[in-house]
Amino acid sequence: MKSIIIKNLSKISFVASLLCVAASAFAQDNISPQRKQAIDSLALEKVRDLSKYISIIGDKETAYSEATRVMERAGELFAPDSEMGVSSLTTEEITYYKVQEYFQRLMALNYDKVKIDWYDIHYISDLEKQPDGKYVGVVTVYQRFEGTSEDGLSYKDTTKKDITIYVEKKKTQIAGRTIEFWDVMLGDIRVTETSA
Amino acid sequence: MNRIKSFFNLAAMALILSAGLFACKGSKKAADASKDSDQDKPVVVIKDDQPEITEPVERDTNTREDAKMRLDNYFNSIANASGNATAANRNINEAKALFASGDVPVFIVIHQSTDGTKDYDEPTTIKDYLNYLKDTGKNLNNIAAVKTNSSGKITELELIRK
Amino acid sequence: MIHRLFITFLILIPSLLPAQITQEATGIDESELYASTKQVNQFFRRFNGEEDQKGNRYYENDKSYRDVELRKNYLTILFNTENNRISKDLKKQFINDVTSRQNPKYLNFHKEGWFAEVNAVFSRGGKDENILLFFKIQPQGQGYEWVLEKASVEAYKSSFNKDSSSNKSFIHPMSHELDFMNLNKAFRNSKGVDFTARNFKPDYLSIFLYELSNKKISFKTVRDLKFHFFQCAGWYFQISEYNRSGYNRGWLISDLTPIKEEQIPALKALIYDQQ
Repeated sequence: MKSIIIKNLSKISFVASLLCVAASAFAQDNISPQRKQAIDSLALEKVRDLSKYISIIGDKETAYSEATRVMERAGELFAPDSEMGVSSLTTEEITYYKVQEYFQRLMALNYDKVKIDWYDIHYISDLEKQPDGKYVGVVTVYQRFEGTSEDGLSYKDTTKKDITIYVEKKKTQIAGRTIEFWDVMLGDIRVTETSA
Repeated sequence: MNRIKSFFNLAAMALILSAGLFACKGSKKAADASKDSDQDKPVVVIKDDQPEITEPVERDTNTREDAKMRLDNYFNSIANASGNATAANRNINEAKALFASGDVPVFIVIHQSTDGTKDYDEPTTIKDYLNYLKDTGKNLNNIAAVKTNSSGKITELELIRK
Repeated sequence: MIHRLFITFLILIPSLLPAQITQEATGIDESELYASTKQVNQFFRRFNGEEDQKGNRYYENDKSYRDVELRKNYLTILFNTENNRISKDLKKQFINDVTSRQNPKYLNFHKEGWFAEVNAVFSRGGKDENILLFFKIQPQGQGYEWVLEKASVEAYKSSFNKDSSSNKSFIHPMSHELDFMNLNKAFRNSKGVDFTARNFKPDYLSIFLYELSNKKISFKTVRDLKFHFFQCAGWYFQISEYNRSGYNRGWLISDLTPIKEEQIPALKALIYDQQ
């Protein structure tokens, strides 16, 4: 997924190289609260982008070609092998789906009308360092889903989504210029139906 | 006098251009690039601290300011198209015309420390960024800097979080 | 007093929320979601007084960071109010103790003294089986990781029920002179555990790992999760997630008891289900 962006960049005639090196010398303690907040916001924006993409993919008004394109963009937000772990109020056990499979199911939902809304609330955990030096955190958001079938019957639920975010400092060279950037990738998502 | 200045400017441009073209003929393997990737640029980089040659630079500055404003308008229109894909796509195509190509790199500064250190989001391309504005319906960034080529097309764009 | 604080805090919550929040006719009142302790991370921050009512982090230089009154307010709402086993007095004692100005007690994500209990489902020969897995945090490489510390498997237990009666089976003390040929009868007629030393303790985690690597069991899903805390000297508490409506939801204290240092090993053995 990531390679799509990289491919695009490599097309630029004057892009001579693209080097991605994790800057391991970056100690957690060196990050000021203001920078931490900027990184938190960056992570939150990726989650908001995902929310938006989910709404577009689920929307029955979205043309197939457009939904497919957006699905690809949504897929680019995720680290490989990311999964959704879904449970409902009736079945507490977690059912696993691959992220792409989840999007496909969302697009194919057999409702005449689908309405997906997101609550304003979100919660961002601390970013913890993993053994490999990447930071990992969890952003929690809430989604309201309403699907109405042709005969007017509707299904509604509210789900809590706990979304894994990986944050890594990377370096790249574009147009002879070295850019250090924060690479934010989404990972596994735990989806819990919540009591209204 | 002005004519002489213009001539010098043109000559400098031609030199840079030919150097760029020459470099383009050479190997462009990614691994070699870090050595001197500037050579690979078939563009004129206009810096704010460009020396004496006043008039053309002024004109360029104006062009750039104009491009910035037009671009910002496009960004807003695309982000605010709210589901009107036709309008958004038309604006995307018009905005793209301001760029040397759809693959022009876009850098987004998410934070700037007091010591000047910049934190960036992952670099993207203008084509992807315009679609991003359309899909997410939000224009979170101001235009910080643009670089243009000799034909006034944007070759590099730096944005900064509002 | 605590009750009054709790009410005040709940009343305060909606007024502290952003203006755009609306109570949708079809959805959840968003202020309930703000009140909810949405992540274990939030439990830590609220317990320690390290975030505001909207979930924005306080940093060490912030005035309200670990403020005693803030902590008291948070701690009051961190209990499962539907659990009558935790008396008001006990809660009060606990809150006063951990927020005492002389010796405040905080939770530390990276330190020993807390662990997770995961109730997982495995498949054994096509049949579902619950296995409890206990994880703790440990430093590793450049950061941290959760590691398996114990496993509790019901199916293993019967193999380790040792006969402690006076007529228990034994391998007689001259067996060595016969090259232990009597093992033939011993293992046929009795459980192997009867022939173990008095201090023998089974290690379920090793058996679990052996079975997992031999594909005798395979992971299916996670059913439930809770956390046990021994980080506040003199106390043990447990937190669980409550998925229900109202303000008292999310990760909350589901059990609390005062405990002496010397009682900890016995309680841990009870939790690990391996006395």
